[in-house]
Amino acid sequence: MTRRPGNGKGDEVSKNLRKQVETGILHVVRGMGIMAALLGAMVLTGCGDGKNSAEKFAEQGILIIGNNAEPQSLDPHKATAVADGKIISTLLEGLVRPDAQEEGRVHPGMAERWEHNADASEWTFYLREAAWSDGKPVRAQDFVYAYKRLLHPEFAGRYAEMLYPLKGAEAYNKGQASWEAVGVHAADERTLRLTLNGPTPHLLQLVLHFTWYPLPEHHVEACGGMLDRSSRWTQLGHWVGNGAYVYSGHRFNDFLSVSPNPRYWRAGEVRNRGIRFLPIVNGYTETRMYIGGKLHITNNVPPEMLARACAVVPQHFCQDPYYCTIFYRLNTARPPLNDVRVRRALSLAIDRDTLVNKVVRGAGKATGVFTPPGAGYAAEPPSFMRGGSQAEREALARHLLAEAGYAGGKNFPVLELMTTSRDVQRVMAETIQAMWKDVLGIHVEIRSCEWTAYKSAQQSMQYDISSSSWSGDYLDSSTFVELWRSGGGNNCTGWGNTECDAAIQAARVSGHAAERNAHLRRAESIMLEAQPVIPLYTSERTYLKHPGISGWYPLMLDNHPLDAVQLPTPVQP
Amino acid sequence: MTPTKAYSQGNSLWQDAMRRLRNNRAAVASLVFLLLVALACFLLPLCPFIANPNSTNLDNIAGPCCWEHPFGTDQLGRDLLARVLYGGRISLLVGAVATGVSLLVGLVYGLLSGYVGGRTDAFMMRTVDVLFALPFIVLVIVFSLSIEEPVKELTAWLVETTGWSRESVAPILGLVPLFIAIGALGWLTLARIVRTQTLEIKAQEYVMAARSLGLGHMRILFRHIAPNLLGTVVVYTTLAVPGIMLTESTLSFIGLGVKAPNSSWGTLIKEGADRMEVSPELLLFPSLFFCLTLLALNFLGDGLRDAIDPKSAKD
Repeated sequence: MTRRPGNGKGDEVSKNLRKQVETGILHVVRGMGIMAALLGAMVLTGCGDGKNSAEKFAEQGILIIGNNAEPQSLDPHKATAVADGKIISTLLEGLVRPDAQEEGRVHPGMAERWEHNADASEWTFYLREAAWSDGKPVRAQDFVYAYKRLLHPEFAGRYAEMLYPLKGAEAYNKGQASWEAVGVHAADERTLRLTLNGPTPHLLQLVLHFTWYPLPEHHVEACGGMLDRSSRWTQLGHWVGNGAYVYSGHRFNDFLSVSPNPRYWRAGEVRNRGIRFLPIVNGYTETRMYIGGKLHITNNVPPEMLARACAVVPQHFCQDPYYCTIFYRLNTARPPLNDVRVRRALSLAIDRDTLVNKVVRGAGKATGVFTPPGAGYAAEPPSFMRGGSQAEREALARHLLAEAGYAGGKNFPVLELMTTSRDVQRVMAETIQAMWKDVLGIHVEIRSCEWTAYKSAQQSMQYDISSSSWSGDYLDSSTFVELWRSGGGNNCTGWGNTECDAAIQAARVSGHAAERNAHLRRAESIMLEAQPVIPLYTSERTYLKHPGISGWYPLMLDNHPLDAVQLPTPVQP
Repeated sequence: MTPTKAYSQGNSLWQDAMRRLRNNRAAVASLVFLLLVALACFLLPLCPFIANPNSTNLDNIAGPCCWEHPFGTDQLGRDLLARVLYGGRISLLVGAVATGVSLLVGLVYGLLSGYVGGRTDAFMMRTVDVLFALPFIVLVIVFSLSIEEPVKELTAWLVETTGWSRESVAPILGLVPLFIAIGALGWLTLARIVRTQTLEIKAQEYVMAARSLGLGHMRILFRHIAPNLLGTVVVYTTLAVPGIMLTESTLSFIGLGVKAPNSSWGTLIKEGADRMEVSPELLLFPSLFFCLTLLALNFLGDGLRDAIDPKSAKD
């Protein structure tokens, strides 16, 4: 060991320390420098001329809208998510179009006019002269082709039951009958005849849904044929549609853009010059981005941000009724959830009022039934939920669980509660997890999944309990009740009951509204008694919208025709 | 300089290193801080006045700081101090255990590769190259998913045979996939460093001397080569821990690490960041702990590097 003269200990220490501090500071300064540079870059790109991106896009007439998630597919026969449907309905147009202002009112779309027989079981649609975005005419055969594709037993479309009102559609879909027996027929290129199972006065509401849209037969055939599930016809650069917009850009997890379709039959009436859909799952991020001027309309304000949103941007805050129920699916194929007592106990142990008041914070109403109010009939909670205080329900829950052989939660297996990574769902899951622990003494584990993984796990029934939501596809109770047909594509619980199926079938063919509702109500009460799902609350839509935007009105089904939305120019900050 | 009696005893490299480290105040302060945090996280929750981190109270959501809840409460009315402490347990545990695993694997692998040399060395290093080319996070995800099932069975078995409560076993055992995954894939850099050092030391005269004296391979490896590597390894390790803690928070962020309602600092920060406008303390406290711990680890690592590397500390 050598020691240099004059290099005292104190010197060394101070030197060391100084060096240490210097390098430390250097690190910090460097870090701050990088951050400052990044911030600077953001500021420069975001608002180089003192304008935020919402204003800049508004000047170009492009609407930026939060769309919750990256779409699973733009193929209307493969999509099931709300986010996908919103994009598809700008790209394709069905027989009729929705009204921007009034729920349930329709305008002529691809069909110029229509007529039906006395009991509304046979309809004839006369198509207008319209073209696909590649210039080919839209023909009645394109509708027939689309319906055949969705119903084809080998195509296995999840949403095939949307077409079941068509005569013979269900039998064909299940491989029990031939296509010729299905009640859809193109009399000529411009005349489409639909024969239905029974009187369907609300058919025009049904055909608003994207499953009833036509497909460009020539193009789908050229891209791999009818049954090719991985067909590239919906991909960027290959897209052909008949809607107000064409698919024009996509950056994964950033945006999906559509621009006006010059061949659209009312191209002159489209009120904006394009739309950008942002797949922002996190409502906090979305709200923050809105306040930061990156969006014109958001998808959802999380409950905890409501107060802040109201304080910061009061004129921008909207709360609309929504035809939607939040519920938990139970996988009834797996023990112990195959025991109805366990399912009822789980349902009873949840204090829905507390959940809604404290966690959802007024953006919904506690419910014990599945169909939300707003159309059809008023549903009744199942027998075991009626009356009584929450404490009594909890006592009943413990009793039922004990009856099932798990007194005090003993020996109860650890179930997995699957949620999406969405904020409200996660907080809700943790609350319910704690409620089940307190009331029943059982432990569930929370698995939070990314949206597409969540969807595929749910559809392949790789879950125990799944945090779900269902929003109506049309304004009628049947859109909620028909979900629970045994083996239905969006049932995903493994539950089925022949009596329930029979009631749904009876509702389909019955002509009178009252009779129809009675059948549906019976189907729902059978389902609720068995409790393959735990209804929690009917939600309301809370979102932010720029006050200068016109052509957007509160709609219960949330299917706003986006071509009617007009941006103010210039936008006030 | 002529050796005097006082110096004839001679200081070992380690004694010198310790002295230099002790003189480095930033490193010592960091060490003390780390010990305090670790003690707090592992011992404080045993005290009765720390609330159960998972008991919710929906009547006191995002409550303010008070005597009962020094850090306030979170979005479900759970005590934030308790959550930060329990979160610290998990974060520190992941940092320590995963680093330990990767240390062990990397050290042995690098030693063997460097010492044996030749074709074996080439083969082993090419394997490392291949593993390096694969994206780390993706591998960790795939790996931790694939060993999730066996770990679940292990938990069930443990609960059954030992009679421990599920709540005490599950949070720790649930992390095992993460430990193994990070540990099993985090050793690559270390293996390379160790191998290079081994090559260098292998050529030193004292190793040749040892060999000519007829010492066995094991003895040469662990008596003469491994101790001389330790400096580098220790430094690398302290600098690797923050990285691993960050990986844990990344994985928890995407839902693969700790499972709710348990928390780690990473998940607490994520939840806090979402609500930062509404209740900033939910972000402030966990991130304060996390940042200070990472900073301390970095300072300690820097200090150790200066202390152990004889060349850099001589001036």
